[in-house]
Amino acid sequence: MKCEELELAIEQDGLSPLSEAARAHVAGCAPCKNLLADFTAIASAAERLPAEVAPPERLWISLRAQLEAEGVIREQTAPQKADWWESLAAGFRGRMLATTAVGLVLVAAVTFQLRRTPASPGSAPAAVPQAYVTTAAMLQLHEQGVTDTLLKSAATTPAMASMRDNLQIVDNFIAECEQRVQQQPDDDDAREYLSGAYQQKSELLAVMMERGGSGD
Amino acid sequence: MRTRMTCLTILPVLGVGVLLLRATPAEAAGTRVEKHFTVTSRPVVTIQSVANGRIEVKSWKNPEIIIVATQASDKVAVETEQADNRIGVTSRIQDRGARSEELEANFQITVPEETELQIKTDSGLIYVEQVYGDMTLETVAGDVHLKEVSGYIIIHTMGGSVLCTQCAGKLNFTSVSGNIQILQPQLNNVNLSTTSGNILYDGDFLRTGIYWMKSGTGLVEVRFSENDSFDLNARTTKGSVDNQAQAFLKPDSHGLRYLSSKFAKSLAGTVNAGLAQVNLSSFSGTIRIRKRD
Repeated sequence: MKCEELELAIEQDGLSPLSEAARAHVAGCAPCKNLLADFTAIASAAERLPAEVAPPERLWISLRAQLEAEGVIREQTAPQKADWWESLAAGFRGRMLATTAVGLVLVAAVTFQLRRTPASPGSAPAAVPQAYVTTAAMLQLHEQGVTDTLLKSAATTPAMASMRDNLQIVDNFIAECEQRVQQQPDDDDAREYLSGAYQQKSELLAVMMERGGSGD
Repeated sequence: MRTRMTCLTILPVLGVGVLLLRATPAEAAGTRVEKHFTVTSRPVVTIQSVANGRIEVKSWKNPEIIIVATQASDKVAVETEQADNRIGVTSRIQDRGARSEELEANFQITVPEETELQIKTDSGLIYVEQVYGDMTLETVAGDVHLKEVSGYIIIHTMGGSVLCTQCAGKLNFTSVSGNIQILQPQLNNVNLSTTSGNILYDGDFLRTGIYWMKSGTGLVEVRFSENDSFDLNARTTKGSVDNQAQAFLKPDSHGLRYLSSKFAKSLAGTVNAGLAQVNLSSFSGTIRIRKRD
């Protein structure tokens, strides 16, 4: 087995159990041994984190939107890679200090990803609107949750009315940006505006949830 | 005087000791509550209010903080606390079924000139005058008026608009639909971003200052004086650039060039020696550049 094959195996199957061939390769390859040790340490640290505080949903949405905007991740390029990613990320969900930990994992994973597939300057740009499908879907789910919570709250304060109005403004702006990105997929400015609008919406929903849910 | 001095001496010694002073419910119904707190240099005041109403912060030269809360009913509770030089003010809704007018609480706060502020509120005006210290102001629907303040100023609103007159230092503003007007500033670092609001900057660009102003669909307007010295980069995706200062804007004389995009309308130029940097952008709003009369 070669180093690239080991990386692919880890990417597809996760950290354990490694195949006999993989274990044999790791035993004789210092870089791969170090790589495996790093991932094992990260996964182990994730499991030890206390499960008390859930990271805000906007963190995931913001990270995803930012990574998509920068072209680091693309919806259609690596569906098979999501499995161990998601399982590792799931290990962090609902845990204190998850923000920091997820950041570390993302850095490690992006480094890993870039090492495997160096950027090609001549490569075709991603179909951007397609790349934002997951972000939009996550936001829609989040919005539904917020709406459900607010429906239970009878109070209609000026602040709550303003939040609803502003949510509509952000939605309209997102639609405008999406249309532009659909028409001009290579327009980096439009992508940046769209990414920013998604982040703003996730933050707005978080505030609505906080204010609508607690009232104090 | 002697008692006052004694307090000033003792308080720092108390160190982390926390004094918790609460307005009793009996005080609350349609009444006025006044609290005094002795502090030493550069106190931090935090205000978190979910009530409707105005928050007014002004300064004086005394090492004392006075908080006056006026409540419309007992359906909103006001609590204050002191921990050494940190003073906290919180209002809480006692009855979620209360009418909007019953949830009104106004605050008049007097602080030493050098005071740091952290204010978080839902609605109602935040007014700060002649306070010199870092401040973070967050509001959903309330407007923010600042007059003669300085420090690192951070403002987040959703729909609230900002009027900043004679502000100095650094300013960071983000909003969804709020407008911002900056008049007669002495700001050397400005970062303004609003999705649909308008931005007006009417004043000098300080030498070596960095200024970013960005609106999604609103108007971005700067009015400069002919003595200002700055490099300008204006860029809009779908909007327009209205340059009413062509006579003063020369081609960029510096080596640094912003990458122009074939998808955007842009304008770059220099006024005088180009010492400050001014970046204006919009998605579909107009960018207007004018010289002050």
